[in-house]
Amino acid sequence: MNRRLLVAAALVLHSWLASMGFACNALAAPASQTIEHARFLLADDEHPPADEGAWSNVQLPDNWSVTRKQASGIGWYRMTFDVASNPPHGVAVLVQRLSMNGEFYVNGVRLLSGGSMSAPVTRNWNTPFFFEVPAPLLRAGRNVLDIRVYAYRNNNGGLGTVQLGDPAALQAKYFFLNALHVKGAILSFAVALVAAFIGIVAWLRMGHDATYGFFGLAMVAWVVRYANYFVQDVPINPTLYGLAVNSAQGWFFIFFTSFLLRLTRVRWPRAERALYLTGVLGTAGIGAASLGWVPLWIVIGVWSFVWVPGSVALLLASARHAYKRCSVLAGLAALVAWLYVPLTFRELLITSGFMNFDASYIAHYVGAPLAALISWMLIDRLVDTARVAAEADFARAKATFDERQRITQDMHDGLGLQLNAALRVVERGELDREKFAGLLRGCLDELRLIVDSSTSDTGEFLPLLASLRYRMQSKLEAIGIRIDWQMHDFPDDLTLPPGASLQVLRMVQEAINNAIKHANASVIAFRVADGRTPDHVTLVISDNGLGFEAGAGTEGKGLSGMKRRAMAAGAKLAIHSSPEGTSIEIAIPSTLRELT
Amino acid sequence: MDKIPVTVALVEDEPELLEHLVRVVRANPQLRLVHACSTAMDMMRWLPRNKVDVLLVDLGLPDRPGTEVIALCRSLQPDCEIMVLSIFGDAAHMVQAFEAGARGYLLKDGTEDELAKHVLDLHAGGSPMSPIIASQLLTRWQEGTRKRVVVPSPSDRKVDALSARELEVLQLVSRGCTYQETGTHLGIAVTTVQAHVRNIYAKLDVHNKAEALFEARQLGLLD
Repeated sequence: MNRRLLVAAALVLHSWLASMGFACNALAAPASQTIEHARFLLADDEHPPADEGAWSNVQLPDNWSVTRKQASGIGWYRMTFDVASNPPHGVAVLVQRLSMNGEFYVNGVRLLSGGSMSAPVTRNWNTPFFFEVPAPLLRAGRNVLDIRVYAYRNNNGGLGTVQLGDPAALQAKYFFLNALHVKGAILSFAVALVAAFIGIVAWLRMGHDATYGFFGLAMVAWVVRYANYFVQDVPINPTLYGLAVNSAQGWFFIFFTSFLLRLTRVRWPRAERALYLTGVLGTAGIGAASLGWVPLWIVIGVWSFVWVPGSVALLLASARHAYKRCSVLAGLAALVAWLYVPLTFRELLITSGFMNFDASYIAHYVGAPLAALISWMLIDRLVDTARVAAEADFARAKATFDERQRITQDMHDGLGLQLNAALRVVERGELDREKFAGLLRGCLDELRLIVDSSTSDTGEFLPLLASLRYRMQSKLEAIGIRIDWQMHDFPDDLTLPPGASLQVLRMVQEAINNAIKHANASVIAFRVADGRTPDHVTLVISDNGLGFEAGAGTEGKGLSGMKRRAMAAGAKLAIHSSPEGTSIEIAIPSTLRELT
Repeated sequence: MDKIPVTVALVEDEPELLEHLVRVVRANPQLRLVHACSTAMDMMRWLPRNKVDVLLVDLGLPDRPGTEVIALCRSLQPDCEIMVLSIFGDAAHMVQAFEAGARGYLLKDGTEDELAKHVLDLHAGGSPMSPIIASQLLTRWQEGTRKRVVVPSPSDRKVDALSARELEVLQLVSRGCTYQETGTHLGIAVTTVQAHVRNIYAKLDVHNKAEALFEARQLGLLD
C-alpha cells in the first residue's frame, strides 16, 4: 500500500516538475529573432492587400480584446524581415499563439493555413504554428511576412509573438510547445474522462450518496474545458460551444465545492444554492458577452464570485481533510489542490489580458493528477465499504449461528429435561392428572421464558422480569398469593445478553415456585437492594413463608439448580431463610458475559 | 344475569382447541356462540352478512393470514372486539395483530374460567398489554419522536403520536406494574388506565380500511 502511495506521489511530483520545466524551457528562444512590430489592417481580403491602405502600427503580441474590443472577423498583420544572400538553411517561422485561426504568406505566397477561415472557424487558439520558408521564395534583403488572422469579438483573439530563425532550433521549440499545449491537454482530457466515468457510475450504482456524483460532474466540466485545448472543428454552433467551454471552469468549481462539502461532511446548503445561482448567472453572462450585450469584464467579475469562494473552499477543505485524515493520499490531494488553485488564477489573468498573450495554459497538468488521486480515493472508499459490508454480513451470520446454538442449548437444558421428566412419569404409569398437568405447565412456562428472552431486541432486562410477573400474576392471585412489586428503583438501562437473561429469569421462576410449593407464603415481594454499586444491581425476592429449614425438605434440588444457574450467568446468589420467610438476593453484574 | 349475552365468533384450525373453545363459550351463560370455523375464508365469507360482538382469531390459519381476517372485520364491523388466539402472546405476533386492528389476545392454555373471563373483560373495555409489548411500543414511539420520523411499521404507514399520559402508562406497564398499580401511581382510576391502553392500541391500528375492503372484493367475498 505504502509503495503504491509513493509511486503516486512520485507521479504527481514528476508531472509537476515536468510542467514547470517545460514552461521555463519555453521562455528561452535559442537562435532566433523575435518580431515585435507589425502593421495591421482590418480587412476581409482573400489575398494580401496592397501596401497602400489604412494600415496601422501595432505591437506584438496584439490582443484584440485589449486593442480593438468591437472588432470581429479577419485582419491582416504585415511584418518584414531581412535575409542575408544565400542563406545556408533557409528560414523558419514559429508563432506561439494566434486566435482563432490564421494563414501565413511570405512575399505574397500562401505557405500555411490553419483550416477554415470562415464561420465556423477552425479553433486553433491553443495550437502553435510552425513552417519553413523554402529558400527559392526568399529574396536577399527585405522580405514580407503576412499573417491573416480570424478573431472572434471579446474572445482573446489576435496574434502572439512571431519568431524567425534557424529551422532546426525553432522546430524543436515547436515540438515542445505542441506537446505542452495540445498533446498534454489530450492526456488530461483522457484522465478527466475516466474520472468522470468512475464518479458518475459510482453515483448511479450507490444511489443515495451524491458525493462522488458531484466529483463526476466536476470532471465532466473539466472534460469540456480540456477538449477546448485541442478540438479544432466542432459540429455545433460556435456561440453555444463558446458558452459551454467558457463556463466549464466555473461549473467545475461549483460541482467540486459540492463534492468537497459532502466529502468533509460540511452542510452549507445556502452557500451551495448561492453558488449554483452564480453559475447560472455567470453562464447567462458569458452568453450575453459572446453576443456583445455585456462587456467581458462584467462576466469575469461575476465568475470571480464563483472562483474566489470556490477556490478558498477547495483549499481549506482539502487542507482540513488532509489534516484530519492524516493519510498520504489526502495530503497529496491537498498539496495538488494548493498547486492547482494558483495556476487557475494565473489562467484567469491570461484570459483577462493581464498576462502575456502567449502564456501557456498548464493548470491541467496538476488538475489531472488531482482527478486521478480523487478517483483513487473513491475506489479505495468503495472497496472499504464492500469489505465492511462483507464483515457485517459475516458478523450477522455468526450472530444468527450463535443465537441458534443458544436457543438449542436453552431447549435442551430446560424444556428437554422437563419433557423427559413428564415422559418418565407417563411411562411409569404414575398418571396423576394434577401432577402431569403441572409438569406440562412447567414446560410451557419454560418455553415462554425462552420466547421472551429471545424476542427482546434491546436486551433490556426489566421488561423480561416484568413479563415473568405478568404471566404469573393471575396464577398466583388464584391461589391467594399477592405480589408486592417495588421495582421503581430498578435501572431501565440494564441490558443482558439473551442467555444471561434466561438464566436469571429461571432463577426468579425457581424462587417463586419455591415460595408457592414449599413455603406456604401469602406475599412475594420484589425489590432492589439498597446500596447498589455501579457494577451490580441486586434483585431481592422475599416471601413471608415458612423458610426452608421448616419446609418440606425438597427445595434442596431447586436451590442447587439456582446456584448452578447463578454461576453460569456470572451472578451472585445469597439466600437468607428464617421461619419468618425466605429472601433470595441475586446480584446481577451490569457487564455479564455472553453464555455459550 | 338477565343481560343479553355477548355474541362470539371464532376461527381456529386446530380441531381440539376449536372444540375446547366452543365448549368454553357454550358453557358460559353470558356468552353466545354464533359461528365457529376452521378457515379464514369461511370466516371472511361469514363476516359481511352477520354481526358479532367478539371475534376470536388464530393468526396461523392454513389458507390466509389471520391478520387479513382481523383487517376485514375491522373495516366491516368497527364495533366488534377482535381477540387473537395465541400460545405465547409474544410481542412480535401481537404487535402485528394490533396493527391489523385486534384489541386483545387470549392465551390458548388458559383455564376455562380464564378464557371466558378474558372475553368478557375485553367486551367491557379491558385490553391486556404485556410488559414486553409495552416496552417495544415505547421504543418505537420514542425513536419516532427522537428522529422525527416514525419507525417504519411492517405496513409502513404513519403512526399517530402518543400523549404524555399514554407514554407514562406505557412506561409503568413496561416496568411490570399492573393496571391497578399504574392507576394508583398516576392517581387515576383503573378504567382510565384501560382507556389509555385501548387508545394506544387504536393508534397502532394503521390498517387501511379501504384496502381491506378492496382485497375482500377481489376475493369475491363482497358484492
